[in-house]
Amino acid sequence: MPAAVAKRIAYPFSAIVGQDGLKHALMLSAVDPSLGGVLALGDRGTGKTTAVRGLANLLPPIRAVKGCRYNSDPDLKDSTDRDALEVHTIPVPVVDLPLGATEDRVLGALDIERALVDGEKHFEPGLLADANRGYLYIDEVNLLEDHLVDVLLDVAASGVNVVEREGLSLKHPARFVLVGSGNPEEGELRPQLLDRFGLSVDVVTPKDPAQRVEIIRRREAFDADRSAFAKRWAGSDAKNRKRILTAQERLNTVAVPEATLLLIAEICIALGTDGLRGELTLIKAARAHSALAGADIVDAGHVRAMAPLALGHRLRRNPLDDARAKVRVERVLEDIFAAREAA
Amino acid sequence: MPATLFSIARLPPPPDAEAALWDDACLAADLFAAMAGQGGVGIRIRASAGPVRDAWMTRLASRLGQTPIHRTPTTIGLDRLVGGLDLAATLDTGRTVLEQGLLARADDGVLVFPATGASREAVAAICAAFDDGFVRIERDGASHVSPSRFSLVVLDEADDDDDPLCDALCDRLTQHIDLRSIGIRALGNDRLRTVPDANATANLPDEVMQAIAAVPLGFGLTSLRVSLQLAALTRAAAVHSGRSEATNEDLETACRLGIINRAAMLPVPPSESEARDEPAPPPPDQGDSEGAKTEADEEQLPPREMLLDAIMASLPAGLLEQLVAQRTAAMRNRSSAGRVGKTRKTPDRGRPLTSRKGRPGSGKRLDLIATLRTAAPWQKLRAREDDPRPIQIRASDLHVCRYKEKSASSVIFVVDASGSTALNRLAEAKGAVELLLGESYARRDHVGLIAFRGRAAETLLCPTRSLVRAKRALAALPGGGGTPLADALRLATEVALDEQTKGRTPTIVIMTDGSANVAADGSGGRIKAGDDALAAARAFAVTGASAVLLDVGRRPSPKARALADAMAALYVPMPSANADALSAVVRKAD
Repeated sequence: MPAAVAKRIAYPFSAIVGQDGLKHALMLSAVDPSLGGVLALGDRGTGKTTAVRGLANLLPPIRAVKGCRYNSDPDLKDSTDRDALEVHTIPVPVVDLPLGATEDRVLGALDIERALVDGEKHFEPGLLADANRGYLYIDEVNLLEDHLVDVLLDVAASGVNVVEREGLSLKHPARFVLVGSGNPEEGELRPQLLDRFGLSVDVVTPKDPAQRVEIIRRREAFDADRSAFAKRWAGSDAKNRKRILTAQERLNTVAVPEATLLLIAEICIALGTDGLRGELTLIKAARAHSALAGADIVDAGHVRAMAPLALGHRLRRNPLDDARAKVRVERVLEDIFAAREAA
Repeated sequence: MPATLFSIARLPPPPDAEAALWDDACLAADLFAAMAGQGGVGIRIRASAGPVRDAWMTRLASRLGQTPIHRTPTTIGLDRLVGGLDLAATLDTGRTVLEQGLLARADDGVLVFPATGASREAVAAICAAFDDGFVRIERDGASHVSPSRFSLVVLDEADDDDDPLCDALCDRLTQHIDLRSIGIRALGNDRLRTVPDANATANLPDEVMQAIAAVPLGFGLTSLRVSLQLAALTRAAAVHSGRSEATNEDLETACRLGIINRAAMLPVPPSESEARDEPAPPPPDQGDSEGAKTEADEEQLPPREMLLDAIMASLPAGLLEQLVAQRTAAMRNRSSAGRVGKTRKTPDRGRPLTSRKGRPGSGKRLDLIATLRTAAPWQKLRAREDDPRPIQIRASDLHVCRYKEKSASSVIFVVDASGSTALNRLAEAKGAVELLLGESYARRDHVGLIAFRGRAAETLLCPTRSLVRAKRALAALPGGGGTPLADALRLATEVALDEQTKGRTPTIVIMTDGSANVAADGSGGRIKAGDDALAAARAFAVTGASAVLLDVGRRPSPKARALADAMAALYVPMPSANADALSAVVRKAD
């Protein structure tokens, strides 16, 4: 690894002041990667990128086949080859999709060098291959070009990248958690893309002076001596990592009782969310939430806490109605829960 | 106000004002040079090319001393900026040769970047490297990481309402200096300052820190980067004046250099802000003793409002007007920025054209077949015994794909068929629309038709090229009933978005008198209906689609004008719906 990268230490996830919603949503996506990613919409300079980068450091490393461009999991290979494989541990990949990325770089393309120099047809994997089993982070997701969005939608939904171009025909696994951030003032996100994200979080700048002072202090301490700062927060990061690991293990044992499923259906019907994706996501999110909280069954409280995150971006709305969508979810929740209390 | 605390005098009249501004600009250069060593510091210079900017750059260069300055050309391709495969060398030598980009070469130096006219990709690449301190080459099958810690001078030549600096870049720059109002005469007054010890640093006392956290909010700058930059700048200003502890004076200097020229709004005057601001509670995680201390401090020290006053005093005249102009321009630009409108030039989709000689990169894709075909006749000549490569290709053989993207456009007519319009104008409007339909058909545009009357709007015709259907739909359009303007605009927005998704460029032509009387939910009431219509109009503006609002009322109505403004539409009063004049207007908006 080049010195510049080795030297580079990400700001510790646990040291981020405020932004509890975003941090919680990211942790949930780590507990259950099938949740479908996180969308963070909000102002510039609120620590969205910092949180995503920090999360990567927080996550436990994964085992992968050495030399594999797709970070393949050795345990999923055929048992015959398994012993022959060289395995190494790598950090969970977090891949940035730069705004100007070309389709070639995202999908992978013909290796021009080898085609021209050796006359060989050879596939050069793209960013989607790098992101397999990890995170794909798109800053300013709302400014992304439409054809790239289409590609990402397809791959995110199927977990497989199918390449059919320049005489190449192949597919490779591309399972990743899509994390997007952006400022809705600068451009709207297409509803189809919006719906793909499991959870959405509105990120706002902290306006509380004390909190801002604390943020400045920590950031300056970090910039002054990165490794010392990271060391100081290593304990908290380890605690969070442990929480995620425990929750991952417990996830399948958490029961979702019939009553909870009914409640979720009731909420989705009341909100008129399109399709079943909202319901499925809410069930998963509530389960991850209770696993993280250490509960054995998903109760109404967990559902209530997760509903705004899982459903807030799925309501039919007009483009300027972002704030009101969350309000609408809250209002429906209040009604439903008040009715339950009364019953 | 204790006068001693704020020794900053109001700006003297010109040319002293210019001298004061130049003095500040020089100070900014000094502070930048002092901070630039660690990289990750940015400054924005607003000026057109000329002697003043040159003088400033010369001064900066002299202050930077040994630190190298790299200048990016105005139109730089992404491959030159980030680096990539050196194709000519690769082909000659037969192995991968990577070419270092400008960002990697600027490591430990200063990068001068003319932002006006730069591509969004270039700005994104610079922002990423600026944040990360390294640059990843992820192009043309090559993957390589090089360190890239640089400080950034952004040359912003934009006029007030033309091509404003990209927000993402603006947000990352510490200082914002405007040289535009400085004349050449002011340049002589260069007050030389002593260069401070490079290793010196200054403390930020609590109350200064509090102010740093709070002041940018007053100027509408909520980004936390601004507060962080302000802290660093205050510290540098303190070091520069030889202090080991920053004072309010340093903070003022920092605000002058870092905040004022990018303020999004002016702080609310103290009396109002006192009424608005809730008393800030002491931070919960701090002990009682500390909380008490903060309160005591606040009594002795000037409240935030007074600090704001002092900063405001040094504001140049006319800033407010400028801000308003910038905001509206920014809004306009923003509404079009996110969309794939007519301005997009993608070299990688659309109908293929014959390929052309050129290097792949910057989004251009290699046309392998054409390249091989060009190389084929030369194979025998090029083959050498000592070279085992089966195919000999030279850089001059390379061809890249070209595509022509369909630049189809569509015109969507939104016709008010309510009672108020129908009585006297509907027939005229129909005639005008029919004429336009004919013309649109001739230009092979898609044409759609939305009518609204009674309780809701209705898509009579989805965008189509069938003139007959359009005419039939129009002729059958009945009149009378309420004016559900909000619903009509909502539908127009949907259709416009749909068109954009399909890759067409929609133009919306709305014919109405602007007097809505049916609200979005179908209920009556003029006031609610009007508000809903305005909200729907603002929502429409976000699509960035071009629009014309033809006021077909008997006389121009302010309501229709307000609506057009909210939609960012061209407003045209049409006291008589003259079909020819109408089509001329639509042509203009197209």
